[in-house]
Amino acid sequence: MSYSRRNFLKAAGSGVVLTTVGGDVLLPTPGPALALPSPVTTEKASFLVNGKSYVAEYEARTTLWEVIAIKLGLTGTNRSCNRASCGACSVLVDGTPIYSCHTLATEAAGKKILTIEGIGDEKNLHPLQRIGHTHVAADCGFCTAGWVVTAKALLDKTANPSENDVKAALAGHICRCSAYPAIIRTVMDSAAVLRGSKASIESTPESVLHVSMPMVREVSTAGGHLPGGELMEGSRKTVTKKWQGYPPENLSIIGKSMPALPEVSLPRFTGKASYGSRIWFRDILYVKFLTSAHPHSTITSIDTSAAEKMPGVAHILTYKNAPKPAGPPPPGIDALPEPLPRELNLQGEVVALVAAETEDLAEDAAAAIRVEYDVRPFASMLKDAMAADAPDLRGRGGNLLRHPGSPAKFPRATWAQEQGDTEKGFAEADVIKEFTYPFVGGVSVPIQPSGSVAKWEGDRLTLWGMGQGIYPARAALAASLGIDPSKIRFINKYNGCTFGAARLAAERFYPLIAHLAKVTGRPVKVMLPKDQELAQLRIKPETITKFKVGAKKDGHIVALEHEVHVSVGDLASGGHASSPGNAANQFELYTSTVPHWRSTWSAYRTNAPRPGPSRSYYQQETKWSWESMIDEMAEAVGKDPVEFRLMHVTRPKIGDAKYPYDSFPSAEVLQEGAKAFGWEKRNPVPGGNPGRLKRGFGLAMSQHHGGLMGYHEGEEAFARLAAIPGANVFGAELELSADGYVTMKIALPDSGSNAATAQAHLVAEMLGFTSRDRIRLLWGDSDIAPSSDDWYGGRTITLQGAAICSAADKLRKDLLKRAADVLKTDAAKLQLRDGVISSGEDPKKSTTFAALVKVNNGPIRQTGRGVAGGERGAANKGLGACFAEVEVDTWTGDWRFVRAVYAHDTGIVINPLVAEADMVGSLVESTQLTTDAIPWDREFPGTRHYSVGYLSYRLPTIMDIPKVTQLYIDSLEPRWFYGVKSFSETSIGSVPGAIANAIYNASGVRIREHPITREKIMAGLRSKGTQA
Amino acid sequence: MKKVSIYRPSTLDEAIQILSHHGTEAGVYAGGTDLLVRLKNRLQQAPTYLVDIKRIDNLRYIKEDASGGVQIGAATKLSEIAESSLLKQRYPMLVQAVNMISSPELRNASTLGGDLLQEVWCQYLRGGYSCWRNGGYICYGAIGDNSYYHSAMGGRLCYAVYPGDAATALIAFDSTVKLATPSGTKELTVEQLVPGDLLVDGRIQSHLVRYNEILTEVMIPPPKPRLRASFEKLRPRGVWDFAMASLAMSLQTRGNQIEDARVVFGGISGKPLRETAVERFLKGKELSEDLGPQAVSVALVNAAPLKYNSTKIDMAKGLLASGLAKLNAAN
Repeated sequence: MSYSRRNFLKAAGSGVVLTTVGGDVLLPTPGPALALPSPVTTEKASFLVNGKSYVAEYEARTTLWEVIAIKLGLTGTNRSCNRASCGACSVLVDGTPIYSCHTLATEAAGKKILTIEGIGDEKNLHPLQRIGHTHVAADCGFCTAGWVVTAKALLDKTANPSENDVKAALAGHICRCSAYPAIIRTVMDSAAVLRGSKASIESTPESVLHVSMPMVREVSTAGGHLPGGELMEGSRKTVTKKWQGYPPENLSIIGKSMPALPEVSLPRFTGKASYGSRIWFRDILYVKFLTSAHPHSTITSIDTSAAEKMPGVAHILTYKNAPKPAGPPPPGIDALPEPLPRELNLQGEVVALVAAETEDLAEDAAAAIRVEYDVRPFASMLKDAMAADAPDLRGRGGNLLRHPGSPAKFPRATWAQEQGDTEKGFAEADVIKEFTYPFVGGVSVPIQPSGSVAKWEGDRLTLWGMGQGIYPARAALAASLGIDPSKIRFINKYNGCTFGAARLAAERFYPLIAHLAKVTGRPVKVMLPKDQELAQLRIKPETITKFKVGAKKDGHIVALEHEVHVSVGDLASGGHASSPGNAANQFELYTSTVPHWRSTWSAYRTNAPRPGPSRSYYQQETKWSWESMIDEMAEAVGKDPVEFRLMHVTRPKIGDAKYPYDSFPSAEVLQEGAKAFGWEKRNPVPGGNPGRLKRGFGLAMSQHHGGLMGYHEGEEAFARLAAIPGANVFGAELELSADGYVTMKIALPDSGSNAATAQAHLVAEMLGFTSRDRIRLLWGDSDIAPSSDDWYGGRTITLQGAAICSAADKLRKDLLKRAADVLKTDAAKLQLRDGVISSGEDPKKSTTFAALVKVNNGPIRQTGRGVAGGERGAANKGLGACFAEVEVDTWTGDWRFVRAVYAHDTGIVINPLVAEADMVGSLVESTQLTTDAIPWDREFPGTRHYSVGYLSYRLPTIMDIPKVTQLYIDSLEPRWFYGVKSFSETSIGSVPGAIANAIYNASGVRIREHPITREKIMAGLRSKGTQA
Repeated sequence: MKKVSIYRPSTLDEAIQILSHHGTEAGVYAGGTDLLVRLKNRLQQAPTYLVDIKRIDNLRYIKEDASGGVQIGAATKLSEIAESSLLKQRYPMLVQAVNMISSPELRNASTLGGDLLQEVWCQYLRGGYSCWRNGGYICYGAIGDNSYYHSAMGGRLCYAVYPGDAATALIAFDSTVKLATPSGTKELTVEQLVPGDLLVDGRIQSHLVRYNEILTEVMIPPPKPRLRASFEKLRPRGVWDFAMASLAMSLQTRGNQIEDARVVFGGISGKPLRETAVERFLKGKELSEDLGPQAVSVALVNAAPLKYNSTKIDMAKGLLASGLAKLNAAN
């Protein structure tokens, strides 16, 4: 072969398009043998990271992230998608932001690398870190390290960026919690500070409206109130003191906007927040999964012999050699699906776990495992599972789940309820409409890879988990391993979101990860890649909802039949497999005025992923249909959607035993929301606005909260309530130390809600502080915090809060008593103010918290406990509404979410700033569920496509979010301290309906089948002939 | 990730020798943004001998040539194109299109050559299915869920759409490319470079660069006088996502009269689709509000949508009307 650049022939393009070029079989080009250089397969190179030189040796395929975070142990940089589709792993190489997960290490060898650790630390915060904390620009914080370094690169180049510059620069960063507005403000304010601005930076919300509701404070709507301000529960037996004895009056801390607690928040900005995925040891082993491609199969043979001999492999687990659980989980804790089953009920189910020196080597070995499957008939979609000739997945005659309590009258239903006679109702109706709304399924993927780390020291195990509590998971793990729970130190301080969904994906494998650590004698870590995680996360299941609705001419609904079919994977009972659960809330919202109704719920065994909590429980998958139906009925009877809802929403009356809620602002959420939004400007004609780009308004409501609250009523009541089956028991400790600081010890991790911050506000308020500065936090570690249950349902403040408030109440009383003893006065005459206890009659009579600690010869501690569940029935309901404005491009089917008013029945708002951060996330999360289904394959059922990270599962970016105003309807909950009412999940179910209704109003295109896509809008415009 | 070996040639000759030696098991490695996804997904077709061309020092530049056109080295980063004041001034539409590719960090890594020659993003190929491009004999997209990543304009073997945006924009400027080959330099138009799925050296690919050839340069001729150009891209999100449909259009005008036109659709076909019927229609017409609907009526009459993607054609037509409206307003 001979050629050189000097005698290249100039060959012009022929203009003829060839369909084949060259030969079919390719052989090395003939010619004299050439002395080729040797390629690099492994490399040893130095890296200049944050000004310090490191040397690392690695395979050529190793990414820069692996070198930084694994070889060098600089764990501040997070990896999420591992496919260049989220930005979490960004670092600067010679000043330029790149994705370190998607850059081979060799590219950066010898170059200057800047990671989050080089931006600033706790003692020397960069403005981006300090101001980000001030504005709550990190909720879960998993993406923070990435966008902070990219923002640093922007500010190094551009001293005075515009908001659009900031958005353009940070476009390649997914914030899973959608702190985008706060991130933009952080970068803008940091730029100003770096330019020398001395203006103070306030912690204020971006856009919040408050509506105070005195009438709810005074009026009991139900059988709740008793003389003396006491409240009765659903059982009519248990008495709770109004406001639990702490009325919403003369408040110092509650209601003030403040950043999250610095000990929780600042580590998110410095790369020090200890997510399980950041736990690192030099000798750690990595686990990779082998999964099945078949929707339904049984393993007939499995051969790991070749894989075991591969380089770097430490141990392989399959169903053959995986340890069986030593025992079932303790009572009250659900057993999770077997982690290595032989019968595989869905695509992506786990076949083997490989532990090896690196992730790549573990994957090499997983690929070398030989598996034979008996491929079985499957039904992954509802229509297939419901079909007459459906495969019998349970071997028990049909896929419909029937339980002992299933209604005999409705043999095709798992659950049913009815009132009156719907046939009679339809006979009376003037308008009868039928609707079908399919929801194809959605999932809330956490940004942190689900996983865990296990490490043994002697017979003691430390497990770093990813969940929503530590003690139940510890108890279940101990039972599985057959050891005493005290032999396990369980740590889980930070999560990059959990959504309920991730917790189950992580916990299922704790026993196997612990086992692998035991047999290899090494620390072991698993971080599920996004495609495999999808099969493990709990999802919002596929549903098909049918309505038959009859209304009078005046618009009143007189008969309603509601039929839900739901896919429940291989769950046999509980949750979606048993009943509508929280979905019944929406039914309750709209049927109090309907004389004849019937609701059935039919759950089917399928080969789909398992349903469960997924940022909310039972919400979008059921409310999509309700809120679309209400909108369609309003139109059918010629009513405005707000007016039509006002005609039907439940409004509990005083003494109404059927709706025993003291706080239920169903009408107010609608009326105040409509006012704040400017609903009166809505054009009632669908698609009626002129021009190519058409704006439209839509609204939807959501009623939520099954009603569980935590209570504290003294130790006697505690013991009785805790003994009731199904009760959830929470615990906390407060410790007053000699420096006058109060330390909260709480078991629960933080997944981004900053729940401990709200608890700190409550504790400070109860102990008479006028600032939060004296409250500290220790959390997420079984060696530190007392036992407590998992949080769930967005109700940390009423569940875990019950325990911390109980502790604060006890500490307050204890301190008053000690002070009374010291001051020789009556405790009732004493008051607390900023750590000083003084007599109201004689101010000279005073002592301090610190002095009392001194007298005590040591810290003063109080523990608190709270109970939820059990006989505590539906005492608490929350309402929300979403008012949405969208713009549809009638030429292309494109649409954008312009703005929203997000209205919430909040009770008293503890911290408007942190609440706003949470609720922006709620709205954007729900928008994603509206527009982006699980990537099911419509032609190859049972198959999901998830191979390119967040290009397969499209999380909203900084370019896609609407302007959102939070509307807090301050409907105090008399059952809880200060009228607090948790609200993080009330409104989330309303978003899909609001968007669907707004798109209809804008364009005249009604999308009944989830998800909302540009294709469907375009197809609708085409069929209507309205494409301009 | 698949195990790889990396060569670091310092000259094109050396790079071509290495590529020639390893055949289709080797591949050019520049930005790696497409390649690493395929390696991480362990696709059978992903090359494992990577020939890093970034140390070849004459492949990364943006310069004006004697005729007033611009030459861009194939290893030039997309972000360098986006920030080039020369390109912003001469071909703002190209800069606009490049700014809509992937994300800022990816543009800091991706090269122009890589964008032009990237592999398709069909979910079946990327998911490791054994399709035409991955050692098999079937197109799953043709018979499967084809709403986003597949052609609505027919196909031959592989029905995946050509995913790139730079090619679409460059064709609207009549750009050409240079390839270094063992037998000398080859020159092609960008349109010829990416003709859609074809069998090259025993494998299916969208471009006709052979296994031992290297794309070295893109040449854009001097802008025509009184050129108006627009780029439109419809995608689910404002960043990262590939085009559901896109359109690059350039009109040479005199007053409001169109003297010549280039109309190139992206995201709907296996190649950047020059719609010559519309180009012919537009020639000699006056820009006006009515022109869009008229042009739409002659556009894409050869559409051959698959089961789920007929709306791509409607979207593309909408973009045509939109682009003409913008260029009319830009008078």
